[in-house]
Amino acid sequence: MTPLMEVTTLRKAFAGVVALDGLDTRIEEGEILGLVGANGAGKTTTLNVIGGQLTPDSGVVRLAGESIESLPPWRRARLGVGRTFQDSRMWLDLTAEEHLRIAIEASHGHQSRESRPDAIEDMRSSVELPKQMLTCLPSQMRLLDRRRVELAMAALNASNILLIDEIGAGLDIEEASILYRLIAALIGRRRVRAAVLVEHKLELLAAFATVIELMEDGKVVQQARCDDPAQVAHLMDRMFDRHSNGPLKAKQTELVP
Amino acid sequence: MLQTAVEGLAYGGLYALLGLGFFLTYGVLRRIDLAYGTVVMTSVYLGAMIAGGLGLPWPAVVVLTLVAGVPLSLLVAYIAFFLIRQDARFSMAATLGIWMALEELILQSPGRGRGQPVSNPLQDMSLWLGELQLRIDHLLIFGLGLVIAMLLVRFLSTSRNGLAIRVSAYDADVAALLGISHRRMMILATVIASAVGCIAGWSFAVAQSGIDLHFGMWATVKGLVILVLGGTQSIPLIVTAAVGLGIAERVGSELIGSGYRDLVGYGVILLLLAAEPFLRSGGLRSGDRR
Amino acid sequence: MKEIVAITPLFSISLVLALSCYIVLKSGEISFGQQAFFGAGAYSGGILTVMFGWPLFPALAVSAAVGAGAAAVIGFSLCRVSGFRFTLMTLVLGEFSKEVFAKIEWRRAVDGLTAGPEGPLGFTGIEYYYAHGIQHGTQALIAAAVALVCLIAVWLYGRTKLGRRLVAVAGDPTLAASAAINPVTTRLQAFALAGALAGLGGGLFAHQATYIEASNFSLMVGVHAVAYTLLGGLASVVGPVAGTALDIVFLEGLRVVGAYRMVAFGSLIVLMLILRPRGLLGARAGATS
Repeated sequence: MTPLMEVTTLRKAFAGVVALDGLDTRIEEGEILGLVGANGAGKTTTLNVIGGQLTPDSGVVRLAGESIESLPPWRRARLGVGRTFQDSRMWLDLTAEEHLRIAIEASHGHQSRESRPDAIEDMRSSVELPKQMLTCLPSQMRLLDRRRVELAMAALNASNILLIDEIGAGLDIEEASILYRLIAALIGRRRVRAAVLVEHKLELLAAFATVIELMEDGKVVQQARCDDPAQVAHLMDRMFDRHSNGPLKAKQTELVP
Repeated sequence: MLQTAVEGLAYGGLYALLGLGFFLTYGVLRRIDLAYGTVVMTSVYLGAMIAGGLGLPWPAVVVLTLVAGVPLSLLVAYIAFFLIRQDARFSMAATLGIWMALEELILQSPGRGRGQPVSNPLQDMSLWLGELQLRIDHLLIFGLGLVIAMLLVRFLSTSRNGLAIRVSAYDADVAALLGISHRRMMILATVIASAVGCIAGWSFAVAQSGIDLHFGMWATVKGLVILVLGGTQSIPLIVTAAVGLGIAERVGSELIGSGYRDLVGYGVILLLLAAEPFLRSGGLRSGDRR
Repeated sequence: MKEIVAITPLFSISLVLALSCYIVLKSGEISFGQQAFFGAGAYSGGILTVMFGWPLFPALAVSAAVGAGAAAVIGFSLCRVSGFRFTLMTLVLGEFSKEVFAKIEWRRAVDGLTAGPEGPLGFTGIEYYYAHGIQHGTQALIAAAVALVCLIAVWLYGRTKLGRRLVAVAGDPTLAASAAINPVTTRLQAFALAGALAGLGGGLFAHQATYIEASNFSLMVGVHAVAYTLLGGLASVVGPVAGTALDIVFLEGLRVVGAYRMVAFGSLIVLMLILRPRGLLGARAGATS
């Protein structure tokens, strides 16, 4: 069976600096894939290449069997790829409600007209954004609520896959887990088929992800299924032991299924 | 045809100088100075007007031009780039206001905006290569463009200040960590750009035997076009683009007829600019970063 | 009263052109080339009423359509670039079209006389108002009505789906694209609308002036229109109205600063940008990033 999304031998270099070096990964329907790794390992670049913010130098991105790596980002969004950004990105002069309205209009612009107040209310409640926040500008909202709006906008398009880049950055662990619980709920209710999370806090990923993949130097070097604590422990060993000597490294690499 | 191409070389040298001025300011300040050409025009105009009024010889025009041009450029940079920092578009709009004000001031000056004669020390001196006439002043303009470009390459790649400018252009924060004052580099780049522009303006005025108001906008447009065509990375590319455009314009208008010279000139540039977004490599989408 | 009648057409025409620039500024870009579409509208409107005996309003509609069409054609490439590349391209477009207008030569026999544009000699005898006995007061009314319609149209546009998308694209194109908005199409639609407004203003201008030539469509025309919007602010359509009024009524109409009008005008732009930039460019543009 074709996986929901499959990424094959992606390469991307910036002015000679290699960011992705033959990345391979795949996501099945209902899965949450967590990407971890040091800064510069290529995690955000991976999301950018899947989301269309970057075009890969070579390699293939397949969504339900169709290759999408040369499509512009708005086309991918229409195909059901939703994205949030590491740096909280909102339109400074638009209220939360206007953000949701723009996203709804853009994602349903080519479909039959649906009643907008309902759609906005639906999105608002799915991210548990307090009602009074709808009329606020980003500058009047706390970070957690801004992140809720960003998540709602991304989820509107993410009928297929949601790409989340460090949505917990700047939040404490309780606030971050609220957001991850919302993401898990979106997948549980089939609003979103799958998600890719980039996150530094491993314990969050261990709690919410299905699979965790460790990236080093632009490729996936180790994978762990979260339902197997031993695999997660191995992955953590390798992650925190990056500079360990050769034989140990080689031994751990064999554990990759 | 060959004759026209040779004349195009002189324009190429001139365009190279204008392009280098924008290259420096855009490189370090990340700002577009729409008043650049007008400041140069104003300086040459003032230099020619004063030297003409006092009956001074031609080197005085050069000196006066630089004396007027460098402080004026610094003033523009201070107002438009230092006082207005938050958005490059605000800065660009401010230079537009300065441009309008300067042009009106020239119109209200004793010169009344009329063309000012600039004496040509090399009037009517030509080399002949068989049928080919090489005007010495044209050759000098072309040579000047090349020499200044080479000096700039040397300056940026070997001297201490040149390296500091490059670091500053790359990243102001990194520069600050290395103890390089970004503000000082901005001033240095502005001064060099303005001096290069003044020399370009003066040499153009010499070749045309005078300067008038039109030079300002013309110089700004040509400089910006070179910056777009040559890119913001390399001086040799800037010079190549400048010489290419100079020759293409001359030869193009020779082929089509002199009545259509400006039409062809702007048409060529417009086509090049319009084709550019389609020719650029696909990796340059908005937000292309790690 | 006489002064109002005298100044209304100039004010209205300037306002329509300023609204054209306002839309482009709303898309986050500065265009110094709207006078190209203004000129295209002027020539096409004049040609239709003078050479083919069209009534005024259908001719104006064609002026707007010509402006929109020209903007859509150039926008195909233009809307893919931004920043100073955009501005530079519009600048070159303006100068190029000025050269083109100076070459338009098309003569046709009308009522025993030849009429039409004569290349560098310009286009004389666009005397629709005179030929139909339309008085100055009525002319002023027509101009004011057209400007009002444009003003309302631009205001409504800002409240539609397309207007919201334009704000989104101008504020953060990357975020807009990730929300399934096509930035190029959005900007192209806005640019075509801006072209339509400029063309309409040009048609009006040709019939008001009765004589047009290439120099009527110089860079300074476009630059002024941008400056009006910058002076008044981008927050709403009130901005271009205020900016146009400031220049046309005070600096030109009342001759407050005499011959130094441009100096005052240019300095005013700089001063406003230093003192209250947020009220000017992008009061509703920009994004957290």
